Amino acid sequence: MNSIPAPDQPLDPRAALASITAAETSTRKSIGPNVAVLYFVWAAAYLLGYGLLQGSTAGWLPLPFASALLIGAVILLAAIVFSAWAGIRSGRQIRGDSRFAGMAYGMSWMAGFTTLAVFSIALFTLLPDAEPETTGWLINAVAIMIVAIMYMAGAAIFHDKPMFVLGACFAVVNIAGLLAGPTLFMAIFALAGPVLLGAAGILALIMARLPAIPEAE
Amino acid sequence: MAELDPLIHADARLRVMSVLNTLGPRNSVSFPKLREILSMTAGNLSTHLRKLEDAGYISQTKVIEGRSPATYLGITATGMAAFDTYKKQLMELL
Repeated sequence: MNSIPAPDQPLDPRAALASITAAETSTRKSIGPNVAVLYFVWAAAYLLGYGLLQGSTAGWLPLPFASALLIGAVILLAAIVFSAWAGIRSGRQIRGDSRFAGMAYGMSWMAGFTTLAVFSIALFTLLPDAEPETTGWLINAVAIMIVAIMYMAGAAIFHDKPMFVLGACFAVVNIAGLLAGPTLFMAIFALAGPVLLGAAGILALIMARLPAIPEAE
Repeated sequence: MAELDPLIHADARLRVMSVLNTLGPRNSVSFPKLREILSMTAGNLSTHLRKLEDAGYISQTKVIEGRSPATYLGITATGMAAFDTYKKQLMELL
């Protein structure tokens, strides 16, 4: 690679503006995880997880609800691990406020879902005679509440309006699911989860489609 | 009409300033990461960084990461003001 600096080239104002835009876009891509990929991973996790729970609750899947809940938890954990890895990887080689914001946000997710895990155990212990579908429904409603709040708060931190809309949609759908009952709740989220997250992923892809930085002089 | 800042109005340095301005005054980026974002050679990037640092537009911080030394670069308040002025003048030209 040639490392001899090129002489300074005078710039056309339009080319200069294009350069600024491209550099800003490249920077944002470089300092954060690929949001579209994250949304698609979560869309798949919702489809599989809630699909299993709905199938088990409705009876079209020959699987005990407790087993479906356990598999769903494993899928959830896998998606969390992937998200954490993507976040940590993208934050490397950046120092300062943005790194702290990303780390604090990631740890907030962890705190929320760790609490949820303990809450789930406590609920099953306290209500041993309750239908697993009912207990699972309440646990999932709390999980979605965490997701909705985290997306809305994340939107405030990262100045991401689509993320806020996504969080608000989750909050509204969660309330609808709570009013609808256990069987419908799983069906709602088996459909609404992938649709909302898939739409957010597609929107993120569209927003990211800006000109790349040209090769340096 | 004031003349565009010649120190910023050069493609490579303009892109360096755009990256650092996007990160803001409270963040800094490592030299290798900046190279990766800009697709510039180390020698070329170093030359332009030196010019920007001499003007007080950017600052360099040397740190030890693990056992290796690392250089982090960030925009200064002077640099942000100069870049802001440059962008305003550029918009007036368009």
